[in-house]
Amino acid sequence: MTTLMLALATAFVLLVTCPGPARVAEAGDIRAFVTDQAGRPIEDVVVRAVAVSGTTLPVKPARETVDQINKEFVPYVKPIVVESSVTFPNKDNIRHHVYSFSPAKTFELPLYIGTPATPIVFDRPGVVTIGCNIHDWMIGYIYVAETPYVGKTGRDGKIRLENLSPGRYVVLVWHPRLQDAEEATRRAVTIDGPAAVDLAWQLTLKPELRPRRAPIPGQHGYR
Amino acid sequence: MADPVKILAPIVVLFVIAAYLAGSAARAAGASWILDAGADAIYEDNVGLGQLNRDIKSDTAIRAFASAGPAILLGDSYVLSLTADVAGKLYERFTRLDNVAPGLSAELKRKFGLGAEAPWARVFGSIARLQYDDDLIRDGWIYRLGVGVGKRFGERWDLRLDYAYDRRLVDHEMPAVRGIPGDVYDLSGHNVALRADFLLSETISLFGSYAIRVGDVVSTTQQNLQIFQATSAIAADPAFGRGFFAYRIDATTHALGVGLSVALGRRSSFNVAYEHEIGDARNNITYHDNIFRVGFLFSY
Repeated sequence: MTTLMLALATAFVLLVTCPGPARVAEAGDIRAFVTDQAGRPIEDVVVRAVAVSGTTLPVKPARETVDQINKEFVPYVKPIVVESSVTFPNKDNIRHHVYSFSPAKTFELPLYIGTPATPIVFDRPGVVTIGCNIHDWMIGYIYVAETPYVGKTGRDGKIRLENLSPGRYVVLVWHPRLQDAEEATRRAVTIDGPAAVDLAWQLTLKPELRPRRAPIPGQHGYR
Repeated sequence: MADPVKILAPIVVLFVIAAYLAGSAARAAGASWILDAGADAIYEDNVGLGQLNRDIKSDTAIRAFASAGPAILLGDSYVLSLTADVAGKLYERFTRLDNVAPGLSAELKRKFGLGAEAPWARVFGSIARLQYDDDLIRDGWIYRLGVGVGKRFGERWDLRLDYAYDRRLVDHEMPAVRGIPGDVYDLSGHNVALRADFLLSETISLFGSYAIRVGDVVSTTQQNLQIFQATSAIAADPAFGRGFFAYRIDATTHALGVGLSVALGRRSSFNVAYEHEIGDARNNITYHDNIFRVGFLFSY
């Protein structure tokens, strides 16, 4: 009996003196809105959140696609996570010759129709500029991110990065026509609950000076 | 007088056959199609290339043109383009100069390396029938054969250099002076052209060019001893009125051109261009010609 009383007393003391279970912080979202100098929404802005503390989801490589439709890369900008593989289906009825010189990934897919059998694996973070050697105006971008929290803005200039683990993050944005360095867009945020964090950027864009697709007098021949 | 229908009919048949064969080959080779079309309004202040004020005649013309055909990719570096072309020009004042020019063109282009800045070289040739509304001395054929190189430099600059030999043959010889040939539009010349394009913005492109042509030109004037002594052929040229003669002279022509092209979407553009030509021939013959063009281009 004495033993039982002693056990109950011990249990009571432990119950009242020990702290309860730690409160589990909830994942949160980042809502980003990106406009240009005139306040117009910008499409195709890559927004990524990089953890500087706390735990994050593991980066899960994915199978991605960048099409060639009507002699253009679709989508124009494709954010992916590092180690993802990308196929480049040619949906035109003509041949394309896809290449990249970018340090983050150099590759070449010589003239082809249809879908190449082997996808390209993007194993280093960075911006990969892709082109077609037949149609010089065809330019697209693959943004290879080292974080799972990456996406791009829609036509409304908005993107929502969801389910970020609690912790501190640096958020950066990138666009092919970004005037300043990507680093200059850096913002620090803390995720500590389910409430979304709102961020906004107003970017200065430079002209897009790729070879022109529209005809120019005196430049005859195949386009 | 040659019957234009008899001349043009076999050309049209030839085009249809050529287009069918080229189309079949193109489909087999996974080729693409070229379809270019456009129209210009042209003002020229010295249509006849006269030297004296009394002979300098200006006019305005409307020109329309189209090209269609396959572009066949031959390996990773070569593109062979074959097009059937047609152009027509209508003059406001000198209506006998109205003409239509159906033709065929071929170009083999090679790119040396990967990317938009890789240099390229090409060989090209064309043949066209020149059929005038009512002008026997000008009816004939024109052939052109050339080579060219080009390269893009950075985001904005594009340079190209072409050499071409042109040869024009006429159907009729109509001498006006005994002992002097009358095939004034039987011409040949060597052309070298340098051109630079500058991308000013996403939609606006500027271009400038210099071309030199050494060879025969035709100057239409009233009777003129100076040009008579320099000519190698003479024919009456009623297109410019009674008392005008076309003289073939050996000349060096310098042409300076500038222009502006504004993209209207992905497939069309609005274009303005100006060209100044200076011709020099022996016997101190010099002429100037200013040409203004405003037009629209479409490329499929």
